[in-house]
Amino acid sequence: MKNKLKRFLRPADLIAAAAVLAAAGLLALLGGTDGATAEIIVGRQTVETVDLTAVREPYTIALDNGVTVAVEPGAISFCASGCPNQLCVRAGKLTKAGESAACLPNETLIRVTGRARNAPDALTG
Amino acid sequence: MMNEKRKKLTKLAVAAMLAAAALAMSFFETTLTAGLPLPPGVKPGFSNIAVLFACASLGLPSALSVAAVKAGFTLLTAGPTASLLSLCGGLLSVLAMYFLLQIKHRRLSYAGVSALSAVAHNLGQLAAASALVGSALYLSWLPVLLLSGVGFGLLTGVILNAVMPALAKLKLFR
Repeated sequence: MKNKLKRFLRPADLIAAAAVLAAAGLLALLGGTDGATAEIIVGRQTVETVDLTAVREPYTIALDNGVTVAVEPGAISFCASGCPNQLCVRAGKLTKAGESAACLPNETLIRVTGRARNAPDALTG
Repeated sequence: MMNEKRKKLTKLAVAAMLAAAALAMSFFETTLTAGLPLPPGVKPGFSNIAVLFACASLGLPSALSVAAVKAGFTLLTAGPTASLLSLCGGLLSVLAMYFLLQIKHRRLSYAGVSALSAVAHNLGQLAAASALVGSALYLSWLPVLLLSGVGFGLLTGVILNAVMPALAKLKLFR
């Protein structure tokens, strides 16, 4: 029985899987601090910076390229875009420092940064 | 001489069949996951079964061409951006497979190779997306993406482990 199982899955497979899961768990634990500001970048140019801590009422920003971004207290998200797969919308709300989402067909990026001491870009391995 | 040529042709034909199988599995997968609220990038990746088989039995060039055919198909069905992501993910995952399969006295079965190459696929796509926007992207669901890569990667690898004896019986390369 044991040998039969070994044909499908070996201990080394599970060790490799566990190593990646540990890395994923570590990332999940580290992704912590609330974001302070959000940047909207179109074609590598920052077009808008929002202080998320100062937002009281939700509102939307319509960009020139047809993308609409929703801002609410402590969060920013894509709410509409003309692209076919809507991945950017499905990315959901960004709330933590270091998170980002992009609408690639429209070259639009939103990202949340914390205060100056946070270095969000260093998180991507 | 003649034998060499025949071998090459067989390899080409099998690679083409695997590419077709990969496309069929991709399509089957989209019908399976359609409507499920999965985060972007989370999918079973059944077509990796064909890519991994190509890498293990035909070699690196054939596996790369299967990945390229997949990206080409994505170009037709989902547009250039998705195609580029597919290509970068596919490229990195095939390279990961190749190097893992090269290891002497390898203890990983196809399940482990598949899980790690699935993670390489996800990271390759993230890197390509980051390059496109000119800034390192960090996705809030990256841990979920890694988790699903490992889980589905193990699953597809176990499937290949299971069907390998049957595929070997076909004696494709004789």
